[in-house]
Amino acid sequence: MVRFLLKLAVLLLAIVIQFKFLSYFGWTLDLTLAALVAIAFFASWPEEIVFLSVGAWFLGYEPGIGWTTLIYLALPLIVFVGRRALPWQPWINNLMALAAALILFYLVAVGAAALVADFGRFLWDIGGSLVFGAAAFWLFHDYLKYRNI
Amino acid sequence: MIIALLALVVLVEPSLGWRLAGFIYNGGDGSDAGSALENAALKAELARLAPLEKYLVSQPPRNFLQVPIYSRSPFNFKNEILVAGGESAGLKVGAPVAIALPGENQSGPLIIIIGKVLKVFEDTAMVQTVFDSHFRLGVRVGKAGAEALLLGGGEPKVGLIPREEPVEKGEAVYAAGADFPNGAELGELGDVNFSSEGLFKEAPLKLPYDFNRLQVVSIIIK
Repeated sequence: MVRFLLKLAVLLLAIVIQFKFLSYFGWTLDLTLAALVAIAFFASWPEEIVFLSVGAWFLGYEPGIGWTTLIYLALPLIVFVGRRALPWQPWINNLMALAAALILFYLVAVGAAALVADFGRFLWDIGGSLVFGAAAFWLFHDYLKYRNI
Repeated sequence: MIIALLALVVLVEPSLGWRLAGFIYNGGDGSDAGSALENAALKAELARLAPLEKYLVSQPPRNFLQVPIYSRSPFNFKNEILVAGGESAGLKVGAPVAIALPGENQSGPLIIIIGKVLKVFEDTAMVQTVFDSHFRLGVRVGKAGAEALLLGGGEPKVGLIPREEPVEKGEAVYAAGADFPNGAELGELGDVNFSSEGLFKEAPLKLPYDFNRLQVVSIIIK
């Protein structure tokens, strides 16, 4: 239960910071994705579904679940399913998976032209999200154990 | 059991998520953290009413539908908002979305275009704002009416201004489309420069409002 609550606390913190950033600056860091990717290395199947549902609930902004939100949540699910196949040190797997998820999400959601037009902001997003993702991973690493890795 | 309940809530009542997200976005009363969710939402709603006054005019034009913003896209580069008005209110895809600021000297409200309706649902509609990276709109600049193109993004830009047009910083930018009211402003020009290839002029669009603080918009219904 404590392990579950720790992961949930990190996810909720990520969601709050993501929305507050957006409110104050008009742009944000994808901390929810960073938290979900880190959690994917430490969660069981039921936990993974719970955390993805929490993410869907907060990030959904249109009736039903929009395709953008679906892709956003599918990416950590892919990390969860494929975590045993990642070849590097676990902490590198986390960072690489997060970076790949961010790039893939925005390429699909808005296209390369939009990213190039606002490349500085995109770099800030990746940098900030990687820092948060690394911190979340080390927190889980110190207090939880890997799932089947 | 918990998973089933969560799935049910996510699918059946997404609006609860919108309200919570909106509560986080707009800032609630921290001292009420221990109170029930409904009380927290009601207090947040009351706290939000005060800033609404700035964007509500006592007598909006007849073809304006003033609606509150339900939720906003939480992602970068994809600036969309969900508003409380849909098919049942007569909204159509492509309808201009504006804010109506009180005009000076009782000249009527100042209409500032902020986007257009992208999708319409039964009771809600998705609006694409000028901050969305895919937003495009033909515009005119200044008294001379130089034709240009508004390019949406984190910092909206007016581009494709012909080189020979004598546009200057501070000139008003107007929407130029059949679906948009004549003379509806979007903002004013920032510093004018030449594009990277030197063929056109371009300038950032300076806006007279803080998008992050908007809570009510006006949809123009024909």
